[in-house]
Amino acid sequence: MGRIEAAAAIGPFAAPRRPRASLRRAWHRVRRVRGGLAGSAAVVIIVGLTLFAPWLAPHDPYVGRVVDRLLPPAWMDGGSAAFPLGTDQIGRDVLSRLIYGGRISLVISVLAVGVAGAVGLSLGLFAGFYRGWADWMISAAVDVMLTFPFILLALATIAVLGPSIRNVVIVLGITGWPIYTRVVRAETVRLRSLEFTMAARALGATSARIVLRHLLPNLVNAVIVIASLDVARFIIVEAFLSYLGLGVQPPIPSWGGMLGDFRAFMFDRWWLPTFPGTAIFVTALAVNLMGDGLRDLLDPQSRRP
Amino acid sequence: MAKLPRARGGRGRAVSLPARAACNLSRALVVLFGISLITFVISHVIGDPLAVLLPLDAPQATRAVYRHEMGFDQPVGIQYLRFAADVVRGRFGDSFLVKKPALALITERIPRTLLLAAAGMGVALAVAFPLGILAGARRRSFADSASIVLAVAGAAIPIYWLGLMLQILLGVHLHWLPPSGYGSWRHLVLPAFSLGVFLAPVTMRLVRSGMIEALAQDYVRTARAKGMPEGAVLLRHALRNMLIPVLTVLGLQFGQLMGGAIITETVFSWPGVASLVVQAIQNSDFPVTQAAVMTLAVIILSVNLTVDTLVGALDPRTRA
Repeated sequence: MGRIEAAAAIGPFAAPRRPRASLRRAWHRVRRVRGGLAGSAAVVIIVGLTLFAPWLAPHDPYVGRVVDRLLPPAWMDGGSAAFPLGTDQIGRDVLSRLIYGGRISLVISVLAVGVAGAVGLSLGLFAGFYRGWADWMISAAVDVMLTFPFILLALATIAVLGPSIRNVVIVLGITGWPIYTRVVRAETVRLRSLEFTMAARALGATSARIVLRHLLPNLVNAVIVIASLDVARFIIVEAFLSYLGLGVQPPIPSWGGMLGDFRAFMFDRWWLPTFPGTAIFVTALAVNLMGDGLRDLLDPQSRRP
Repeated sequence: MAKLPRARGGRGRAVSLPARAACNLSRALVVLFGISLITFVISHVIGDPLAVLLPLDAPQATRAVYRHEMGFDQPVGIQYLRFAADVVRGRFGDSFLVKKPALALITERIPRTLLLAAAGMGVALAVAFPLGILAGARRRSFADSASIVLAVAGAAIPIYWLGLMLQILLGVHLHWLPPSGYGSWRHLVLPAFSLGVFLAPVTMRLVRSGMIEALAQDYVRTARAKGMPEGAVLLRHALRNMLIPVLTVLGLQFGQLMGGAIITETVFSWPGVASLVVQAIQNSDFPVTQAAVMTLAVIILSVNLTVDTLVGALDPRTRA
């Protein structure tokens, strides 16, 4: 009797492992996240565009000539090939400003997610590991923050701090942490009661070692998934703040700021508000798709049933 | 991502209605205290109310006099207590912009915000329930794919931009609806639709996962085994059981609904509380900002409280 028959006789539980099985399984997993792949590809393209902005943008985003003001896109009557998406109210190239604006949006959101994630992760670990009154306080704070509209807290805080890129990062960071804390705390409480944590403790590991070597690695995936989805959320919120004039200040190009400026042209130049909004939508969509894909790969428990 | 709570009362125990209400009420009070603390810190500790009250070139002496008169030279704790006492009595002072009590400005606008919120929620439910039920009942069908597209695209679309695009297309170019403002039901259509798009993805995901969970239960198998038509199984058994956790989560997300209303009201110049807050924030009108934040907090918490208490009470399993 060959090995294969022997294995078959035992039943499906001991299916023979062929050498390429794991590779094939990995490929299956990747195929299931096609959306994630498309999203990641789009994210790479967008990041590339903004990274190489100085070489890709046809014009200086800060300088325009008044004679070129409010030109329509190149394919419309009166458009010029020199300005593919037309020009704004003071003659600056819309495409160049979109490319540079993406830089600002991405940098702000990624930094803000870093702040929110770091704060949320530390508080969640602390609350979940030590419990007691600190846990109660932190959980109550999370409750407060999640009950109340995030956007209103962000607006009120930035109005007091004053609008600037740094303050947008701070405000998004300090209003965005609770979701991380909630997830990390719940997971820490669960992990802490498991045997491997007790085993580590029995072997004489210090609390710091348990947290860093045993708990943290088990939390990273969940945090990465939330963080990737948060980047998209923050891009949208940052643009709203800038749209209201409370975020990135002119003349620095930003998608929200452009949308706010171009709102005045909604009656006669529909294309102007269309472009920056499309940029926000496409970027947020790409990041969300990537985040959903990451979740399917990294966090199988919360996978779409 | 949203996980549905089990039909619950505490940790799976059946809890009587008064006990449940008391527990929720104490939680609401803690949250209210927290929000008042945040409002106070933002306006009095990070920000300086005097900076807005006095002209920029006011001499130091005048500043000192005002600071003393308004009590801003007292210890922070005392200032908070005075602030809290005013809040409890509904005294927020007069708006800096319009010489009217801040609270009066807000209360006259509350019905309009609630109208918009209800209409937006209606749109979201009208889309989310049929699609979510179909998607949950027929996995990997066309409805399921459509629901995934809606969920992913809906979560990525900035609704302030969607609103702007709708204004341009339907308001400016086609003249079907007024692009913004307040008045007839025609003014309500675009803002309600935008708000609906904001809420639909989350709601739909909740309905879909609730449906999937309910359909996996034994009572569904029993219903099918006794030859019940599939439609009746879905609507009478699965849907009814799923409603309780879904409605509870929706109630708890009322704050997010208000967040969406803030954005929608701003874009469509809808004269509700939310657009008033944005104006007040932009103009550093502290009394109105504080009054609006606290009023919104009370509204949100009352909705959370009512939904969480009553919806739970509707479920016979949680009755003691």
